[in-house]
Amino acid sequence: MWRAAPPEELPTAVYKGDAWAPSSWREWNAAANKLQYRSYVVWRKAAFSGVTINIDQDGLRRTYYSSCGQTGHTIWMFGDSALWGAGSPDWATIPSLLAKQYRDTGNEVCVVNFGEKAWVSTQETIQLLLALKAAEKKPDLVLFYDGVSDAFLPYQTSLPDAHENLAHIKRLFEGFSKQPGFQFLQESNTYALLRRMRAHLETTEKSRADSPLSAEQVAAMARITYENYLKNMEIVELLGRHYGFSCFFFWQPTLFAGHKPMTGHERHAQRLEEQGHPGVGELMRVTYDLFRAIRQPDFFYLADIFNRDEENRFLDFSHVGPAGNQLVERRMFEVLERHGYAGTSHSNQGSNFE
Amino acid sequence: MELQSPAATKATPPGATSALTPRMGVKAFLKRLSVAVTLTLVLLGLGEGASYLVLKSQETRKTTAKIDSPIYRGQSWAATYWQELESAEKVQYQPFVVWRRAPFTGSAINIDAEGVRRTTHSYCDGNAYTIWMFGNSVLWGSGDPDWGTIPSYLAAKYENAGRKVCVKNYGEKNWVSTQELLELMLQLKQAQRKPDLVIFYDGITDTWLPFQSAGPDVHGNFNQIKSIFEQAEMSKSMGFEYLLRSNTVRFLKLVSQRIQAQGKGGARPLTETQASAMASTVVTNYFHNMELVEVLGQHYGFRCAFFWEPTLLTGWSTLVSPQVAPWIPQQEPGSRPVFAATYKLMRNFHRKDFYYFGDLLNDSPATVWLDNGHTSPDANRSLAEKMFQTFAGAAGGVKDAAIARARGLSELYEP
Repeated sequence: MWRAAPPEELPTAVYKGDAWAPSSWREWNAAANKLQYRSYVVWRKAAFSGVTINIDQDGLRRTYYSSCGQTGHTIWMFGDSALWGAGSPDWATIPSLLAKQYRDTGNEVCVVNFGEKAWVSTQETIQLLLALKAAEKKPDLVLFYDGVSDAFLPYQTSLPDAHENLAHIKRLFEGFSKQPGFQFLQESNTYALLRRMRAHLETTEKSRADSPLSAEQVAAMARITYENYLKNMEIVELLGRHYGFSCFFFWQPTLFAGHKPMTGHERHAQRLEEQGHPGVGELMRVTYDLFRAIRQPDFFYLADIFNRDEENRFLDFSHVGPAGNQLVERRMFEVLERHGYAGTSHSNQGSNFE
Repeated sequence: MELQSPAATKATPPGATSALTPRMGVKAFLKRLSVAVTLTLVLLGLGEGASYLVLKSQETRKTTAKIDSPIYRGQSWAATYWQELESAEKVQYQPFVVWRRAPFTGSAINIDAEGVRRTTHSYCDGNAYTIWMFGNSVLWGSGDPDWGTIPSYLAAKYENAGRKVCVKNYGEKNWVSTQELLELMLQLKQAQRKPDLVIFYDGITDTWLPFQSAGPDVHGNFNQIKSIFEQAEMSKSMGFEYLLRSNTVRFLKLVSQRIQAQGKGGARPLTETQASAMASTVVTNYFHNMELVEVLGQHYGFRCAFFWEPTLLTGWSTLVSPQVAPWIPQQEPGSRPVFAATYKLMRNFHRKDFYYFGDLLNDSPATVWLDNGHTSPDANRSLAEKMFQTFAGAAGGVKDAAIARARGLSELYEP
């Protein structure tokens, strides 16, 4: 089933008594599972209106401090649930914090949060392409924030370029047939129960095994993610040259990579993920090692960002709370500032926005 | 045989009445309940079986009608083809492009593990000049054997001209140009050998799309697929929605649709303004897709060409009456204004890599049409020949550009 579902209990250690946290948690639970089908990118969250979470008719989450008029600079951000802001209120997602940073430095920008749960970079590239076709005002800057979903994908499917939950969606699609027949019985509750029992048995057997994935398998899976990501970067860069935007790619932190001094809660979160998906930790580590070595001018590895941070930052093995988002956003802004995208006054090189 | 009177069987010993009657009553109730449940199940089963047979026979009737079409008279492969197509129609889910046909091996139809149909006269083992072709079922070759598709005829033309090329038929039923663009992008990511030439052959499905669905830039059957996905998401695999897809419910829906259609006269009327708006949506979207294909071409080093396919649903179709061509289904007359408006726009569109083929079959006999869009192998041959002439010289298929010019194709020729 879907990853990036809210953890079962509110991790109070991360929120430290934030008054909005319990209601945000309830809204996340309500919004997270209301998905709509979308052509080519397969799913997006349905429209939702709450106190801490708001999603518009296009399935896009609200970005605070964003000013989207006919003039002014536009930043489109793509990523999975970590960018969408799982576990954070609208005003504390990475896109909202970035928009705030621009506003605080005297530059109003339009930031659009295209993040969606469990999305991988190919989905994001396709979303970018579709959005470029539809948008009258093209973006000035496109940011990708990826890592965990892409690295996890080969664990779920052997297809080289797929999306998450492929087996589930394939079953839904193929279970339906225009031809008369008896395929509909595969959707019956009896069939579902038997399937669930089989999956349970398989998972139990898998978790009993000492090493669910060999080193060769892990290396091959990591390589698939790495090569696919570079190809997606190439296409995004190509679109950037044609439509006149710059692009930057950020690789997100996870508890399985880097050297964060983990809190008890974080150790528990890491253990839970490893129990649910045996071998996934090693896969993440090997994949992240490959990405750490990338030396492209528009790629930035942020997975070490919490290396000396002893605070509770992670809600689960991949999502950080508002304070973690703030640190990620600051690092992103530093990169953009260095490349002349901080606005008009802060960069030595002048503004590339102009 | 000694018959026992019913009265005798029902006789109860004195004093035992109060103890046995309730037990017997429960027994009798259970017996009747079992009979009732069994009967209900049998009736439901019979209803389901009967609905299946009715729906199946309808499918078979449709196929038989196609086999009887004059296109297939005297064609030894026709019966085999239609028999194979029944199995080859099965599609599989494919990430991002949504569906592709499942692998199939036959004598008239062959589909490889990637869901790509066989192209004859194509040589993809070495480093031959490579052509990728994208389109809907017309390009795939619905109604045609492997050797009678447009890609196969194009490959044959090159071969006959002394040049072996690799032609890949990425056509798929009901695909629209956005799906094809994404397939191109995904294939470019995977392929070691990039294409030299990419051909798009579109028209009917793109034009049909806004008539079928109000959503912008979607794929065919969008509403249906959206409903499958969202119902399953809502029910999270628990519930009884699956019964809506049983043969009985489908049969009842079909009956209800027919009754409704009779009442309304069938067609959805479109005003000229609505048709123009839809045409404008189709054309704008197609231009965006062309632009993106060209961007990919510049980067990956291939030429691209876009052909707009003919259809009976344009103005000329009014000449084909059920009396002249009874095998052609007279469906959805409401969509005709959209086709007329879209094809009018495309006919007047000039771009160096765009070729309007919409009128190419206007002087052909009605027998080139299998239905409103799918064409016979003979028609495919002539369409492939026109395409080949378009590329004269590009792959060394025709040695001299003068030949192309002599054929009156100078406006299409590009050195």
